Amino acid sequence: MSWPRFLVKRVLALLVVLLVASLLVYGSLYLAPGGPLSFLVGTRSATPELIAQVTAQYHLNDPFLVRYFTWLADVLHGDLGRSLVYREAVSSLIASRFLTTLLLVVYATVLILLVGLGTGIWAALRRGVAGRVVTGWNAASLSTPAFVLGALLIVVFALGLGWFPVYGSGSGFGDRLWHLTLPAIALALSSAAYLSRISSASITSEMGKEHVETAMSRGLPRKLVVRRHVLRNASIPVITVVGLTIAGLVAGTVVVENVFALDGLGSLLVRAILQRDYAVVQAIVLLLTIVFVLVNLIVDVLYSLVDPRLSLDGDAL
Amino acid sequence: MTDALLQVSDLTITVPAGEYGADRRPVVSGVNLQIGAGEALGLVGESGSGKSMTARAVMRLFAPGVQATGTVVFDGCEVFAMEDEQLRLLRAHRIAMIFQDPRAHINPVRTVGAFLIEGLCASGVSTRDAERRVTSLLAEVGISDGSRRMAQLPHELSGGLLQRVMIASAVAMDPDLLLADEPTTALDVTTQSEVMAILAQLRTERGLALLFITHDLELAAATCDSTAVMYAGSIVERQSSRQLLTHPYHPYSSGLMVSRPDLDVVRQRLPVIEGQPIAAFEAGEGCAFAPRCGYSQPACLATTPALVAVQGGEVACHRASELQGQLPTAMEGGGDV
Repeated sequence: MSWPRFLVKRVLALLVVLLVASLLVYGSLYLAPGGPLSFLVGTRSATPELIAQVTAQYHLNDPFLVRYFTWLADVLHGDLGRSLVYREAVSSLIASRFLTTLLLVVYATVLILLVGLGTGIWAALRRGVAGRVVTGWNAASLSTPAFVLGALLIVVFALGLGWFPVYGSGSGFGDRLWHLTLPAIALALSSAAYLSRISSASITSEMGKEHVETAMSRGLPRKLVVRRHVLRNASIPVITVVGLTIAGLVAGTVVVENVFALDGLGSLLVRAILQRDYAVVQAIVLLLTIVFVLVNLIVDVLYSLVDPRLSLDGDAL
Repeated sequence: MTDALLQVSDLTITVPAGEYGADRRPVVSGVNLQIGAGEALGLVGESGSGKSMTARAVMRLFAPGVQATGTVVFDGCEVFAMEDEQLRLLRAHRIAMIFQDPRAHINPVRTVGAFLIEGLCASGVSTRDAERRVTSLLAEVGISDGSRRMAQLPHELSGGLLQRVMIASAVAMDPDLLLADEPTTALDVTTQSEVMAILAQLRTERGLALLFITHDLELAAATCDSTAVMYAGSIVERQSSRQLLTHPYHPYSSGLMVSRPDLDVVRQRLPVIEGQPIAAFEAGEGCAFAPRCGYSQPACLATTPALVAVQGGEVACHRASELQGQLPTAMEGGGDV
């Protein structure tokens, strides 16, 4: 299969996934106990005006599928509905917070790749003491939850040493990065440890492979053997882990944004769920699904670039 | 002989064993062998007899933890004393190795062409020249559609083709010595003979010396000038291939020949050497083969026989002189029908 066909096929598959996801996201509103009306009204006093407003806004008197397609058509036109709590279009609510979360996720991804791959490769190639230090560090990192680490980082580096701000998102690119450093570390540390372990194990097992012995027996420079035969082949399982980890980071921002009082999608999602602001929840969950599916697509493309044995037909992947 | 191309003396190889690798177990003990320029030596033995380890020792190709003592002198240079860079150049230009399972020994995610030209390119040949050279080499090993094959991935080639690719890659750097570690074991019989013919042809054309490792004594004898038989990490017999086939000195060599079925004799049961082969570290006092030997006497269990010169070769057997000429070979029919 050629690249254009592959990409077209994958984009179509992506649309199908999104369609199914949107149906689930929308339908889950009706699975909440007490029915959508009481869910949407929540703890607010159920005045007749409010009930009428909610019923009209969500077309609660229409059949389910009709309501779903109306909502879907609105979404496709860029209208994600209005927030009940903020009394504002959902799209503008999300847009202002998307950048913070995106920056946080990208920052954490960079940290994960640098630290995870760096220590993993270092431990695998040097073994001995280096390997044991990295293994110990990874075990400690893996067993520290992000909210504990976040609190710890605030106490030490923000309150104690005063190197970083305690909370907030900052303004301007540099200031934002400075504000996001501690949150990104909190978000990245355990994933970096996981990646470090996976890459280290993968490299160690690849070093013992017969084809690496062949390469050594041919008198190729060690650096070349490591780069061309060990690292390339070892990267196949590592790509899987990186893909899943990045996709998971988006969900992980929920915790970290709350600890650091960042105004991003994660904290918005938590508040929206607590306040039963369902239009917001629907929009954010849909957005997370899109990110997840896109990351998976990128992983699949990377796979077939690294390992040409995997054809571009979806079956082999 | 001091003018031999390769001179291995008193080679002992140990591997870590036990908890934390505290103990060391020998897998090869006290091996001596030599190969002159352009000569072929067959090294025969069962699995675990240490023959592959011996071959790897020639280019110091050990897994982490493996230790070797003794000396390996290649063309006047002591291999175990070499600096890393010197060793790398030795592997790149002078000694090449082909392995038993080409499918595992060639990187599966790179093309056949990338594998073939890699060695040449690493030593400064341009990609274009390297490609031209390996294409003609592929033709020499019987792959006429070389340029098509080079664009393919290893899994798209059959085992026989892949072994030819491996051979072509080994001779691409024009080495002086080729180590062949059971190059035909993973192949079917017809492919086997084709591969052996290619090896023999390349050897005569290029004056390559060959260390040929196999468990097939007769294949070794048919290919090589002389043949050494290994048992439990030591060489038990070495003589010219022609003479070994007709006049083995060691009961083990004789046993290996008798166990091989003839094409023209119908047998209900194949004759076997009773018992299990042992590794070097399992051998106690006395002759390692004595527990399985049909000719053993109490004296055989007491002391380890040394490899001593006999007419036309060397043998490590206490009873070699008594048994001379009496040991059966496959050619004479051997056991009962």
